[in-house]
Amino acid sequence: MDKPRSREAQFDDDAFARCFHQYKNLVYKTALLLLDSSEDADDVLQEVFVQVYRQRHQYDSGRGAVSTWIYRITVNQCNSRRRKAVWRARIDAWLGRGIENSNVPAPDERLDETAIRIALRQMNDKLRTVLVLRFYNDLTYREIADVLNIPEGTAKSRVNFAIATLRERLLQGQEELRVPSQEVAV
Amino acid sequence: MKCPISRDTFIAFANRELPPDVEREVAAHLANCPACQQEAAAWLTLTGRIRDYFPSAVAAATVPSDAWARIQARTARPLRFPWTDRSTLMKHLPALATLAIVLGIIFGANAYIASNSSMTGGGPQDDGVGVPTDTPTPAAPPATPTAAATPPAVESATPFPATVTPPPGAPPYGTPASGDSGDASSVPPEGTSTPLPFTGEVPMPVQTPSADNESAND
Repeated sequence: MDKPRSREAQFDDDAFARCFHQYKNLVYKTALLLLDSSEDADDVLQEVFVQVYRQRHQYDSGRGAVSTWIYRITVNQCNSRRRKAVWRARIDAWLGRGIENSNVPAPDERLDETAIRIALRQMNDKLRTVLVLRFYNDLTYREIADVLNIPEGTAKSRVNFAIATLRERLLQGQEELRVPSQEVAV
Repeated sequence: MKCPISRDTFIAFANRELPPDVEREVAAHLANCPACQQEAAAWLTLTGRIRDYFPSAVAAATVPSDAWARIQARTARPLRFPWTDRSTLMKHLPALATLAIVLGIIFGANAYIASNSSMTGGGPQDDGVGVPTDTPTPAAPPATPTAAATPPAVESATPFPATVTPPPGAPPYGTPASGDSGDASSVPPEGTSTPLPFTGEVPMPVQTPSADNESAND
């Protein structure tokens, strides 16, 4: 028979459930934008909330909002997963296995979205992360700095550099995209 | 003429992040500069496209329905190896660090004492680590006799006596052997102890086991 849970533990569980339902979409979709894989995003969602539960007593409200703390865990989990993916890709390359070309756009996607998606995939992970935090999660530079543990000025310049890089890639990819888009239109 | 607006200013302008006075200055410049107008329009379009892209890219995505159940199942069961959990490690980090420092001091002191004893009392039988065998150590005292060098007949636990009492009936020490000439007046009466006369030989010091240990540690 299970031991009856204490009132404090029960409160913890209730607060944790509320936290999950409040942030689950943000965590899942942020991970999806950073990793481009629903399977990986699902794993990250699970890992993030398991970590939140186990480290709930270490959360210090003086160091920032709960959302900042959760974003930080999410970004760290995504980085860790990307590192593993890079390692897997290297092993695949050593073993001579073919790597799936994920840059081929789906035929039913609009040109703009396809171009941005391809350009984002070609970008450095750090730049892509700040773009997602700034333009999807709507974080301020101060909040981005807290999440990534970098100075605020660095966060701002990284966002600007990411936007400029994205523009360059979009300009480079315009010619390449024109042909598939005409094929789709036909 | 080179326009004064930098890339970062264009981006900040497009994101409405400039202070009001700077924003007014930029707007005033744009009104008179068609090239900068085009540039500003390009940045505005780009940031708008980025803002639109992210929500639409994940609009259809939904959190798996069983996610909460899986997380609950994982948080309900205890960790198999709790000490590998980062939070547990961080909680005990001060204690672990203190323990590491204490152990370091103990082992360091032990190694220091061992190296010192090998420097001072080390001979060819030592491992010789750190002490070259062919160069004599000036500070090293002469090797002390070991337990094997002590006379086995001595059973007394007392240190070497300054005076020796001859056994009853035996000729007293210092008495010349038969045939030798000697001064009979120098012979002390029986039962009294006399200091040993110097015969030219240094008597071997008698060492007790405790004394032996002390000399070995020097």
